[in-house]
Amino acid sequence: MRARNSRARRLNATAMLCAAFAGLSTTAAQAATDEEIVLCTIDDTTGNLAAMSTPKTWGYALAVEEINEAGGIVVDGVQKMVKHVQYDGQSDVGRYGQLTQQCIFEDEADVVMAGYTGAEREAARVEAVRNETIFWHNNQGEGGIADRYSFFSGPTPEQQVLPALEWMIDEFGPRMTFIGADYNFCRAIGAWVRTAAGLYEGDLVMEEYFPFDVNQWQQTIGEIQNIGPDFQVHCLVGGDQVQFYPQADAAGLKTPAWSNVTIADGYEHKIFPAPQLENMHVPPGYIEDVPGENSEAFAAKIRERHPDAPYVNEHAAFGYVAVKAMAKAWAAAGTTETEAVIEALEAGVTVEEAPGGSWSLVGDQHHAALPTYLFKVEADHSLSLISELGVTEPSFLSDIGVDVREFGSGDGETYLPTDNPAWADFFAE
Amino acid sequence: MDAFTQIFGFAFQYLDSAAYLILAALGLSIIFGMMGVINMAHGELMMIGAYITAFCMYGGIPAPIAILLAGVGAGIAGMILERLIIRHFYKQLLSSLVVTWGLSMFISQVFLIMFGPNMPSLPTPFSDIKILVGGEVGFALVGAEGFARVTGETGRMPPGVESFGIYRLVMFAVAVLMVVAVWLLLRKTEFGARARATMDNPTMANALGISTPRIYAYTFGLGSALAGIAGGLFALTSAITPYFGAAYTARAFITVVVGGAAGVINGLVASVAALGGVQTILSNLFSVYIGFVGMIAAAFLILLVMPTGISGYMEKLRGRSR
Repeated sequence: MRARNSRARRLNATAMLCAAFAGLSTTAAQAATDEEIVLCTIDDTTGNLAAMSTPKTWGYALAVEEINEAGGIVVDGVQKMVKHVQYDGQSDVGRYGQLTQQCIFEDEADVVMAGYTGAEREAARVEAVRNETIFWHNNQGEGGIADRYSFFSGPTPEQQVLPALEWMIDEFGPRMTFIGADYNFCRAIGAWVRTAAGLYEGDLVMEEYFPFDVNQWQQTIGEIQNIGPDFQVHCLVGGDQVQFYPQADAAGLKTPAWSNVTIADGYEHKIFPAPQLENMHVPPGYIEDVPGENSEAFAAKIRERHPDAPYVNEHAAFGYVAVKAMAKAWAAAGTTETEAVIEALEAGVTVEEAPGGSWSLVGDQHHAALPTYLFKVEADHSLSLISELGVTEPSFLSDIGVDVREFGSGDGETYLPTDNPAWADFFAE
Repeated sequence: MDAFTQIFGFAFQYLDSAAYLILAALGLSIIFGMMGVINMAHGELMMIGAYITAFCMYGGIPAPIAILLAGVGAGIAGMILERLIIRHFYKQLLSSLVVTWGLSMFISQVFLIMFGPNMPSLPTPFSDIKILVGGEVGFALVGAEGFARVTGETGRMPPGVESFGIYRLVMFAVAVLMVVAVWLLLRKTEFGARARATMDNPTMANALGISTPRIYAYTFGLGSALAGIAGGLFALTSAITPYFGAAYTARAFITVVVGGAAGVINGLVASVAALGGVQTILSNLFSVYIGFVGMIAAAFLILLVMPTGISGYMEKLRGRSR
């Protein structure tokens, strides 16, 4: 009898705890009222990827603060504030789909912005698009995604790989080697590198992909030394692959390298001891070292709010830009109704105060025209601006005849350089 | 590329591969090979060693002392783990697998929460000293000035010349010293005799007055300390993250299993020689990826022919010939 009593008591206690948690979670995720515009963002603020992604949330928060301080946005005849709901993806791809659903169904998001890695982005994007909600991805990506509801604020390979490699080939010579992580993003970058080699008379003499947990690089270093290229191209991702840099430094491999996955996301020049990254060239759309009023003002505002920030990276800038772009679209459309907002976006939106320089969304591409910069890491790990690569209009999709405005719901496609018939020769081997 | 450069490159990679496997596996060969405990948190013990090394060096302590402290720290951590958790699962292989796997996740997440995803990296020692092979140089050991002279204005190697950092060779030398030290400890000291006796026949050892719980604790501590030292050595040439250890655990297990438990040190040496050799040959003939996959395939084949590992097979042969 005593046993039954204590068991019953335990069950009661458990039931009460469950009810309490249920209550907490429903009050925590309050359904948005009609009095606010809901921006729902999902980023890794804890876990392995937190160092790169957390600054994006600072960018979002700053943009929302500025919009609300200026009085909000007039939609449906009413002055509404932007409400920023933020979720932590915990560096776990599995959470992104579920959190996106939460954004859409519980928070009634008017727009969802999510993901750092391509895998996280796709997990979230697929959910958003399926539920016909506007989705933004706000860091560099492999480009080439054409979809009615998806928009991209960050630089793409045609704005980084192409102009930067043109400069590198011009400066150092045509022979280049490519080493990268074996997954879809670096494979796409490899295809763009091959395109650049074709377009600018470069010569890709080595192209090798490695699983993520390769961390002994002596052999590859020896191979590269034997080839003696004019410069190297890297797409090394993850804690094991970046061990290439100390090993290459110790082995004395000094050939200049170019990488678009280094510095802009993870500010490695602050983490690796000098001079391991000396002679690395990077093509960000924004980093704190970008010159100009916009950049300085932006970096100052971020540092004011986050004095311990190690570096203001590309994510912070493009998170900010995306929210500002949506604000303009909502204001232009005068409503948060999805189809009207998409129309407003596709009519073209410009954010002049973008930290990297004036940014414009190109309506038929859903990608933006933005300036990119070429930086070089010096021996003491300071960054020097070598070249302003200028503004590259995104034309990859339009060159292959894709006009995203013609896409209906569910029509999304992803295109790679191999889909451009004009470049078929570069891939024929 | 002339023959000498090729041979040297090959030899260097072989020693590099061997150093990697020895360092990753030595601690585990004590814990798994001798004690029979499946410790999935082996990589995390290495990670603890790496973090201790990092913090010591940030504080200005020179690398060799920092690494020794890492060994001590990891050893103590191992002994605490043994006392609190591992001790309860000695006869239960599958349970110890699950429990230590959970420990591995727990420890790496705790470090992630406490210290964040990234620590500033440590400079690689001796990075100014390089070996230059081939071309017009032939063979030379150079410092920073010599290197600058050879590379000249372009900053590039002259054609046919390859350069190698010596830290990986230092790691190999340290690994060999560690193996010899452990062998001497197990063969020539009283502790070693007691430990081997306990692992062979714990009941008899107990009856003879050996305190088996204490031997287990110290042996586990020894294995952990070796893992910690290995972690410290790797920390000087790697990024230091909470997931640092994950890359080593699998390869350590493969090396130890292929080596076999019959003669822990002999097995380890034979296993490293075989697997390292396969990896070096294949990655030179084909690609780094094939080298990696081939090493695992070789382990598979060896175990097919010698299920108790190389040392187990050797013992069987010796037994038959008597």
